[in-house]
Amino acid sequence: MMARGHVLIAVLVVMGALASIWMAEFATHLEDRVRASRMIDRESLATQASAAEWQAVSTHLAGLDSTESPAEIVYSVDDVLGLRQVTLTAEWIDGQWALTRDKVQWRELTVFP
Amino acid sequence: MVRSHGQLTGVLIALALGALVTLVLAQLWSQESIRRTHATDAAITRADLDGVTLFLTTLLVPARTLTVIPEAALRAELGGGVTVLSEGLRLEHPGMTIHLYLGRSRVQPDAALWVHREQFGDISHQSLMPVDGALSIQRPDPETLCLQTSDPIWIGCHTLLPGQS
Repeated sequence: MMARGHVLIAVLVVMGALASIWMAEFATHLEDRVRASRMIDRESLATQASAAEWQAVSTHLAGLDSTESPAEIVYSVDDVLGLRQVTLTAEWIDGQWALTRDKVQWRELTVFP
Repeated sequence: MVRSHGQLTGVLIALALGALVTLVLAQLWSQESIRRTHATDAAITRADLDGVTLFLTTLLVPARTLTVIPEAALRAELGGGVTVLSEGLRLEHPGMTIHLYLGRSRVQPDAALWVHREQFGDISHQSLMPVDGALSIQRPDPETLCLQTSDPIWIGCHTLLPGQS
């Protein structure tokens, strides 16, 4: 009876040790996944901000007449860092708009959610 | 006598089994600690890479022009005192020029990704992260520019924004 008790204790000790190692492994794996997902979200937001910039410029250019050249274009987009405010100069050269990036300001910088 | 001999055998077997289990557990813990050391190293490297990816956004987004500079030309532009190990990227901002390249310095002899920033004559020279491998700068298409390091393996791409060339 006592021998069985000893064997049971030994088995429990081994299982406890293995469980603690497995838990540590699982926690590391989970942390990796959370980190990776967070970074992918950030990169995806940056890509969306690029697309939003081009969209904003297209909208502004569509409303401009070549006689207004050179024109200042100002727009804001949300990106990974905050509210990005961009100032461009659009100049009508050889039948098309040439853009110059004048100023970029980040406003309302926030902690990434 | 026979009974005590039997007990002694039982104790010896129990001791041997205990020692075996202890050895197996010690081996497992040792492997786990080695694996954890590697995992910690990897986590630090990943944190560096994440930081660099985010920091580069603050350099790339406001830039007016982005130009890939060959190694020799980069050496000439940065002058003496800077060890350049790769081609680099020149970012021109209003009133500021930034060079991004792989290099070494007297203070940091290991190769690293460096940012050399000059603004109205003021210069700051900052290493972002250690890089054991090579740095390459590619333009997979006219609208995209990618920086890539081979060790640690990392790639960061930037899509040209309105007004950038």
